[in-house]
Amino acid sequence: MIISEIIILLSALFAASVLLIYVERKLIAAVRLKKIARVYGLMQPIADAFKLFFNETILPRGKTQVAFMLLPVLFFTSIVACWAVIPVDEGVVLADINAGALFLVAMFFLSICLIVVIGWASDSKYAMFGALHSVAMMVAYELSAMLAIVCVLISSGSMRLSDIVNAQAEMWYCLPHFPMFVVFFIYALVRTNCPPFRMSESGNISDGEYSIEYTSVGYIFIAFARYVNMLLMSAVITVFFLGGWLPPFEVELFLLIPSVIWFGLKMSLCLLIFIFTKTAFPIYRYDNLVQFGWKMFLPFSLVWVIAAAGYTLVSATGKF
Amino acid sequence: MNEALVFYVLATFSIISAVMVVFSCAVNSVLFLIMVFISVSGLFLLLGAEFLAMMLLIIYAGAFAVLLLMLPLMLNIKETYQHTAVKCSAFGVTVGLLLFSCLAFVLKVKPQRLENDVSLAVANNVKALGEVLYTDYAYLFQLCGMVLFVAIVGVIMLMIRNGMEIKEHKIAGQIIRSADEIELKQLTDGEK
Repeated sequence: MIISEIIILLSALFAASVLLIYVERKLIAAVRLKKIARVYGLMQPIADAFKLFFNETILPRGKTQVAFMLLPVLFFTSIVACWAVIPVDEGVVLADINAGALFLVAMFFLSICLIVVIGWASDSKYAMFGALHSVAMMVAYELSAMLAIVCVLISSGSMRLSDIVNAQAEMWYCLPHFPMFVVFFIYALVRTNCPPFRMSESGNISDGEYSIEYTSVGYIFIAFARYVNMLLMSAVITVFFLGGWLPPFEVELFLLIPSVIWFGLKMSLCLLIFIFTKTAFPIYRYDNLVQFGWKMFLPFSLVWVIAAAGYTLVSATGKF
Repeated sequence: MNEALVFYVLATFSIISAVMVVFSCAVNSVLFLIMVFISVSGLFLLLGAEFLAMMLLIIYAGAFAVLLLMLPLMLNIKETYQHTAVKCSAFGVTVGLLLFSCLAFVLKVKPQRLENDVSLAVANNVKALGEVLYTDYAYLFQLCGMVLFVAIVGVIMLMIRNGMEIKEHKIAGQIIRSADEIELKQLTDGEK
């Protein structure tokens, strides 16, 4: 039973990420006024897939060979595993566990850990530096993003994701927690490696990214993991801040539309903003971004957590 | 039956990887440590302590292990590591015995108390832990916070180096031009 559900989830993710790759290419081409290949550019992803499959697999010579082969799969798993707790509709979720939000955070941290290990296992200093850059970047924004999640947990009073969605029936948390919404959105950009934060590929700063040594199937796993991660981050934003499967207003017409479609619409909105940020913004300098994370975001979100906790306490007890 | 099987698999897994932490070098031992954390968090999940399991993953496997991974990578520790592990084995065994006797003491003297706490934890993890932490152990909790705070301040103090030149970008200094530094030239056709 659960196996068939997992297979359905995996194939849905596969289809969604293939679609995402296609849409992303079309949109970037449209924004930058580039011509795309024939047949609406449909053949290009297929050609890319063929090229990647028939690439030569190159392995490092040292002791890290086994780790090098295993790690892309583990990285992919750590990101797909997050989807187990994300509720797409009332009751439509693989495992609606009590500590769903915590599980998400734990998996985020694990995937960061795996990036360092990938850098190490590649046995090349360029991959190592790429991994260190990515990790320093993510860790700088990780803490403030976790504090943003804490704000949502304080307001909803539960760690179960479906409870968090239901608690947003009156007002989505992107309105009262708007600054935290922005913080979490920027964290999502960092995690999905979108250009204002695309340190790992900004040529003159580092000489490559952590996946530089991977070819063929290993690279397919890492690249797919990135797109699944984009889908995942938009789903997480939808659940935490945009009211999950709930329609924006309790109007008859809106209630007619099935709630899964609402979830999909909100996710696609997030994805569109991701892609437009990718095309529109230049890459900033590395140290500026890390300082921005540590010195601006972290103190601000700490203050916001205290304020949110104080407000919740006062409104619950009625005493000041 | 099923749960017992999962328990034994996780337990053997964690013990084997804990042993391998000591007997493998540098990065490998950190990877085995991560494996210990993951399997122990699985054990916590079996007990129904979801909060503890996730916290173990977040704090140890996530934050702590990343830092530990950086250490051998940065310091370039090679095979000497294993050698020191053997040299310090007496110290390690002493500490291990001390910790084990502490655990035995707690289990022997305060079984009642422990049972109460565990039964609380089964009902609703986060709430139960919060109620115990902020009432019975409020002062200890605050003390932990103070210790961590002192650690943060200590790290910042270590990083401040007075008298050393700190390399940083001074953008205003880099792009400012005074009028006498600039020379206007009239180019002839050949120079253009």
